[in-house]
Amino acid sequence: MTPSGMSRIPLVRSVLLVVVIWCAASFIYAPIFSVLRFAFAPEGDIGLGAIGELAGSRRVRTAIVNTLVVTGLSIITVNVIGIFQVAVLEYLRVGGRGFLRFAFLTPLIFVSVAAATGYGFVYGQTGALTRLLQSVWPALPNDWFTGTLAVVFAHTFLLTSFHFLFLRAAIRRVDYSTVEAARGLGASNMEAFARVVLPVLLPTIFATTLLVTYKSLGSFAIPSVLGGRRFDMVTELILTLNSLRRPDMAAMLSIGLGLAVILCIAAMQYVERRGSYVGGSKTPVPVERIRISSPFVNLAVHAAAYAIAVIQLIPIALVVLFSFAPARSIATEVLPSSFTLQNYVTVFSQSTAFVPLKNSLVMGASATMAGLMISLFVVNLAHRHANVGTTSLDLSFMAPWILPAPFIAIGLILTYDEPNLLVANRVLLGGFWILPIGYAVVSIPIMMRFLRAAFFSLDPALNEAAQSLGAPAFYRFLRVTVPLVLPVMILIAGMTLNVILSEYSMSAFLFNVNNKPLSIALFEGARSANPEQAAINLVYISLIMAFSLGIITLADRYGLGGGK
Amino acid sequence: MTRNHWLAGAMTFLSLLGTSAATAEPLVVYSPQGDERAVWIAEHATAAGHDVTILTAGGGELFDRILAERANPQADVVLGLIDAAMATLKAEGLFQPYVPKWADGLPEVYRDDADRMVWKFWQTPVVIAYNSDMLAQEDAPASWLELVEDRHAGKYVIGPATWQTTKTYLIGMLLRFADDGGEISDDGWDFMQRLYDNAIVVDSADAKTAAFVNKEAVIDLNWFGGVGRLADDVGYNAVMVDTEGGTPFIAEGIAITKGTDQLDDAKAFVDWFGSAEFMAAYAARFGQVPVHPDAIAAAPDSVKRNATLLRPQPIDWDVVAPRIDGWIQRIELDIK
Amino acid sequence: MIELDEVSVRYGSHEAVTPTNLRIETGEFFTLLGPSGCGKTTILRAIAGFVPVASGRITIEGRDVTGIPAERRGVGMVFQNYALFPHMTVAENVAFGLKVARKSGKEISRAVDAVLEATGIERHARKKPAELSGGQQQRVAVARSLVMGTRVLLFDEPLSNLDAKVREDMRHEIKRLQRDVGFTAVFVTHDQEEALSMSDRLLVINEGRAEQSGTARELYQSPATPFVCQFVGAANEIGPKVARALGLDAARRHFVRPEHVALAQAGDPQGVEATVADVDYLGSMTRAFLDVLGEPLQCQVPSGPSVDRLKAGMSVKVNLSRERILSFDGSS
Repeated sequence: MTPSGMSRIPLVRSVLLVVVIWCAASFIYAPIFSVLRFAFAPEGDIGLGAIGELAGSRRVRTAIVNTLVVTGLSIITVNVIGIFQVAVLEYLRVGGRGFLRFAFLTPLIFVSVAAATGYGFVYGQTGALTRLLQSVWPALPNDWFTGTLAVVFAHTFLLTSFHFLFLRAAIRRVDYSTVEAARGLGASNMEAFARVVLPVLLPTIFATTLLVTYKSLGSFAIPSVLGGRRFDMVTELILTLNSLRRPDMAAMLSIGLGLAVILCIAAMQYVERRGSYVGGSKTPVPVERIRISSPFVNLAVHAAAYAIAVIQLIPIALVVLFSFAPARSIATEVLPSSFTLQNYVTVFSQSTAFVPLKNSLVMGASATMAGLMISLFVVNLAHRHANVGTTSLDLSFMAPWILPAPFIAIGLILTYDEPNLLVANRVLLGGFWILPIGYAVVSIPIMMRFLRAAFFSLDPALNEAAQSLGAPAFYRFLRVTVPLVLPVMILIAGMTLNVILSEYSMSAFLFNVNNKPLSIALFEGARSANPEQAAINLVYISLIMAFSLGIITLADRYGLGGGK
Repeated sequence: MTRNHWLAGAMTFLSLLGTSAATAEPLVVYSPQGDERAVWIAEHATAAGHDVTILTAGGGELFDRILAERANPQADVVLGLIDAAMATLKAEGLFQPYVPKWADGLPEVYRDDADRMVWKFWQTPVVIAYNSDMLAQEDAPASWLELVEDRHAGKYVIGPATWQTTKTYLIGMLLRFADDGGEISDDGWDFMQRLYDNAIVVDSADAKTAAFVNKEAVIDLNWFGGVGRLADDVGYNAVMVDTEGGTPFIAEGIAITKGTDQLDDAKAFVDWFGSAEFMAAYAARFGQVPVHPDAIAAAPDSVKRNATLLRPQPIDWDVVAPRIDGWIQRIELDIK
Repeated sequence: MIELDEVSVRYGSHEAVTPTNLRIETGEFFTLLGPSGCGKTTILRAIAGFVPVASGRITIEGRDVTGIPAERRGVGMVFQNYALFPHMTVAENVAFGLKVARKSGKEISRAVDAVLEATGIERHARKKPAELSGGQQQRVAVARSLVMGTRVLLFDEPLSNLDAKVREDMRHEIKRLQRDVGFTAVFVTHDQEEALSMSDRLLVINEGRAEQSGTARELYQSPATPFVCQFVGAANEIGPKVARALGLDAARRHFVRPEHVALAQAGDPQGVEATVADVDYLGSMTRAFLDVLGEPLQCQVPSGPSVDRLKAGMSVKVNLSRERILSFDGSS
């Protein structure tokens, strides 16, 4: 926007600016302040009593140990599986690549609480796979799939999405001529991979490792659903402390988690910056997938690839199959013997079954709309007028990116559990809107990243061309800028809605009877012995996956699958 | 998107933020009564001309909600929370004084003459029951303290400590290890640890039911009415134990929320709900034991019998109430 | 007529363009020539209104436009990458400005059809820009401005994205359009050949400073500064030893163009001794890199039997006639 365009609509813009600043103050700064205040000065006096009490609790200590152990193991297993998958898809010549590709992308559509309940459904006490395994090995206890084993297993096959997205992109940027050059100098295929390809991929592997660490540290839905008795991770403890009405301890623990996450992200940024010079050539020759010469190795690679694919596909296939099965066949059959649409009819016709879906859609849509408006305004402002003010506004809304959801949730609870002047002396806790506000706060950073990328990739000459053709600022924004970023905006909206549909962390803290979302319904349904409830869960999961698949296909077509 | 649309959108967002979810046309009643009972109560209330919405959830969850919503109360009437919870909410200043028509004749222990806010309408023991299809009488625990024995390992379920029922029996057991000042001895905490170690611990009603469906659990620690309900749902015959050392009793109360915008409707509902007529009907339907002598008189014989079936464990809730949070926290963070 | 009166542009503390005076006649094809980063595009953008001037006055056809925003200057611009709106068809791109001006639908379609035909892209009216070749895109970019009745068109290195062959064609195309329609063209390029072949007059800019303006011939034959001398056409700076050998004023700088360096056989009595360091055969011409008294000198001569014999290591004689030597004061 030129200076002249600015002066013409100062009022509208000032009003919007005030609204946006109010949003940042109320829903980002105030909650952060509340967390710090309750953690360090719950009674008004500064102290570290909460730390002592946390350290004194056996369950807190165990949860911290569990979180670290799970994260350590997950880093190893996720990397092994993830790197292998990428090698199979992009470096080795393996038959049935299309099928494997689909199987390996499923962690993108099978996420959070939906995936956790899906795994629980299949591997849990009455799960089809548990029954199948017991028919082979009768000694297997019903509850074999719990604790560290279950959580790490689920992480292993659910957190490979970062490898699928980023490592695959990185290996595609490898200049194959360097591999050929290495082989021309006498290196074997494997040596070439180890000495030429891998070093180029290392920064990306490190970055994805940090993302896995970040995800695993804050893992919530998976341990809640699959962890079982006496297995907690840190996020669950924060929720427990909150429900024990110990906001000071909850706040302190969420600060601990926040610090761990911030450390991770700082490391990631460092790697990103350092890794950027490993650019490869300007016109890279695409990597040619190599044929494995040893028939034994070849067989082993094929077997492993298909085994992983099967492990990833089976829960999804069973969830979808059983969602079309009569409720009574759940927990009694390994594969359904008959099919029906009844479960879907139930979800859409019974109000109790439909309400969570409706709640999530309403909250997701409003959070997405509000988030997009704020993001568009802030990004546009920062893009056109880079100065201290706009940059700090921009950074304010990016802040939740480095804060784990429980941190923000606790902050919102502590800020709005009593009348607050920021929101006209209302209490938000217990109301409908506190959860969508939380959703919006955590969604905005991602929206802003995408929108900023979209704005920066806009050719400024287009705007100038329109200007030299006589179009005033507002007309240009409307007819040139918006149509060009619209596909991105629609996609961002879809992806955000997709995330919110199965969002668990924020939901578990902020939901109440007025707004019980899909993820909480899924979580509660997962505990039910009632097959009708299980059937409804399967329909929810199938619907979430169908929606995700649609969004991801769309994103892929627009080349936005990168997620970053 | 035009600037004007932006503004309109932002304003809509703001105005939505300001909208309270409870524009309560019907009277909103918070109650931990399970679905079937809530539906039954609502139907009868409607038939009696009261327009009510009953919102049900676990007692602990409701308690937290009411506290959380203190400045923006969503409930007009709170119904069915137990002694300690109602006492705390009253102490927090969340209730409105009202003396219901049925207060006359109510035994003193169930009245609130000091503050005229909380009135008890029925009492219930929290009991040990067992699945008599699976467990012989001699194999069932004869007292609460026996639960830690190896032979009961993995046969009983402890629910979340935030549940009223769970809280009540945990407190009942801890109190046996209390000194005169109300402090729990180390033996008490050791016992609590063994109680948990020996149990199936769940965090939802569904999970508890599942444990009985799967036939892992055969001993039910439950409130009086819940025993029969669970047995019916799962399909077994339940027998209650008249435990050595007594059974903790709890009484449930009703109160009107301070700041309700439907005070007259709320009063009318309270009057109707606690009336001997409705109490007796409820007792006939669900076997619940009312506390009002008129209601007991009008109740079926089986209910009259139940009123004296179990020996109560003496508990002084006035002493206990301020300590509960600390005990539950210790259980949740160190023992669970 | 476009006039720049003491116009300067600052980016923060950096003076991108020092106070510059310039006069471009109506209907003229005028080129701003200079190396990249010299400020030529900044001057163009100042004329267009995209860059605010720090001082001075810009008038277009007698109207002071200095403080007027770009959208109200009535100046057309053809961007380096053409900046066609990718979400609109060719016809919609061309109609854009008319729609902004709220012309009637009939008027718009008539004007669009006419200009599409004049620029030879009427067949592509329904296509999106991505479906067009570079040359076609450029025509759309020109048409988009012409349809507005714009009398001044600014070109920001529009040919730099094209292949050599298309580029040549497009040069003629722009010249033809400019002649036919009669608009004033201000053209920015760093390519001296392009500048010399297209322009009526040019301005050579270096480091934000106007060095010299004039016709191509004037600039080539009588450069006013050493920079112009070297940037417009090629020039050897004569080293101190050779200068002394030729008896040139040591306080001044001396240049000679490669085609003005005459070669003779080693035995020739005239000239200075030189050794051939390398030879580039360019077809009609041959370029020889010479070593004269330890100083490099380039020479360019028409290819021919005697020239073809030139080889690295050969001794030759070099003749530089005094009237071909361009001399400048040392300070300039």
